[in-house]
Amino acid sequence: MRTGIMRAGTRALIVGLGSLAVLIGLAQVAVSAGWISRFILPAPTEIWTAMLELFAEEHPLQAAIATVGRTLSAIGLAIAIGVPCGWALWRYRTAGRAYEGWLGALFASPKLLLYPLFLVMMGRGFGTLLVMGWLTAVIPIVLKTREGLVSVPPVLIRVGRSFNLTDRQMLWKILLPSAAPVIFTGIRLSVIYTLIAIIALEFLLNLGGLGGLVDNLYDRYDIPGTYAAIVLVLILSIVYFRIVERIQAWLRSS
Amino acid sequence: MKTCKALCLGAAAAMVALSASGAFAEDLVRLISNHKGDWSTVMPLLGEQQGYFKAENIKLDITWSAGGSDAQQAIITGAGDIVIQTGTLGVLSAYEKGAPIRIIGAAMTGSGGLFWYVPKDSPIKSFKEADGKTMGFSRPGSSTDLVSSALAKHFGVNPKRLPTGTPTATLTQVMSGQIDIGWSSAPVLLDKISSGEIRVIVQGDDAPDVREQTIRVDAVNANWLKAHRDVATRFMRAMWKSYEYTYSEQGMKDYSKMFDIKMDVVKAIPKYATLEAQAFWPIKGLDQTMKEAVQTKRLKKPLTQKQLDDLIQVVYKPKLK
Repeated sequence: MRTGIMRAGTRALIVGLGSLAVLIGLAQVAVSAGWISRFILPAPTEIWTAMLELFAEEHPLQAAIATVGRTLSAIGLAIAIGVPCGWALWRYRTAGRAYEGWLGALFASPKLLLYPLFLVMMGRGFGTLLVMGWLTAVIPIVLKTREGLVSVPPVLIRVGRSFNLTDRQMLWKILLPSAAPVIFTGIRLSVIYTLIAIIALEFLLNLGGLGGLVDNLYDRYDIPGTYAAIVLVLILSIVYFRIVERIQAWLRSS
Repeated sequence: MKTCKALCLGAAAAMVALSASGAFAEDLVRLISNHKGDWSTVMPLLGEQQGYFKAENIKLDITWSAGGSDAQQAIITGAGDIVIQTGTLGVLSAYEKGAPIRIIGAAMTGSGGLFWYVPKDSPIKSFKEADGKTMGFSRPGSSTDLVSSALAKHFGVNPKRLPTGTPTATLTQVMSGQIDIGWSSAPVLLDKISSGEIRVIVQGDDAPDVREQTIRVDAVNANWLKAHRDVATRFMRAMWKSYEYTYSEQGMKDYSKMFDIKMDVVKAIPKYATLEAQAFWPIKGLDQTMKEAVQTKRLKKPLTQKQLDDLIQVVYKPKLK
């Protein structure tokens, strides 16, 4: 069975990587033959060369660290505020029912358009990025925290009551551990959306990080370099996502 | 009678055939302009209203872009034919990388239109007091970045220069005390100068290096230019007439009405951006521009004379009155 799963996993990986290789090959042929303008899509070999130049001249790792740092700061703040807020919406049921829909609608809205307001209030720097990132991250955490607490099996609560647990003990020993997988789903969603928001703002406002790097390269009309930086952003996103998946799997197993 | 009828029908048929063949059709020019409302970039709009382009058998299809690389990329990929008032640095950079872009005229020489200001109550009375103060520019690598650096060097001061974005975003940061010295480009904020809310402490042209440098050009797709050189020439002829008209009393009134800007503000614009500064020829200060392009990594090395001769193909050189 384990061997079967491994084989299926390996097959999926081969299919995935193989498809990517075919796409890259087709792109190379299309650009080399002049079917696609290299000013729209550079040849993959040009992008690879630009990637090497990027590491030699532009310090993309520093940019990546800045972006990740900003994203983690926003998510940390969102967890610190979002989980208690989610608990409050569970604890006070009327409030929960009242605000759940509004929060869901707000989550779906293009909050990125609010950035000019925060530029005025917080200035053109880390403050704006932190607030905009927090705004993106906090909503799924609040909603999923409430959802996780609502879905705690009643039998566990009754067991806790039978042991005369205080409210605080109930929260830390039963409610949060039981709700943790759902809460973490909210954190995982917020991680993805916050990274997108931070990079988008860095690009729009030229505030350093990977978004700022993409903007600078495009501004210099370094199209292969721009694509190389975008590939780096994609790789970062994939690595980020995989780390979060692993943490979630570990939480579930423990 | 029958002969007359036949002749009339024949003439009518010939007219229809000629119309269908496009003999009387205007040449469509897909123009990329930036920041609708800016003084220099709306001149084709005013000129079109006056019929200058129609007189040259040209029909304009204007697309308003955010400027910079976006506008140049539109030309390079063939989504547009001509871009006006685009950064010289960007065009040089694109050309060096093999992009099919050519310069058909200068668009702005010097930076008189750029100015830096402080709130009316600011303790800073002149730019010589800018040492250690925060000073805005739009974004790294922009003309405001380079001009603010040139001004600091010329006046021997060391302000803390920060990217502050657009003139309106910069104004908010100045008035809320986040930065000491803001930037703008005429006609934006001229009304606030007029009302006394802000004071200009330095203009771009106060730095001699900048005064003789063509910072913006008009550019075209190279393949389009090869096939439509005559159209490009007629376009630039109509453009120059549009420029001259906009600087006239009636032109200023039209601009004032179109964009709801007070006449006293509009009349102040030529003090910052003269007609002479927008002459299509000559293109000045290329050595300095290429030096800056290398410094900002837009060029690996300065272009050769052969490259410059290929890049710069001014199609119309008007005489200044």
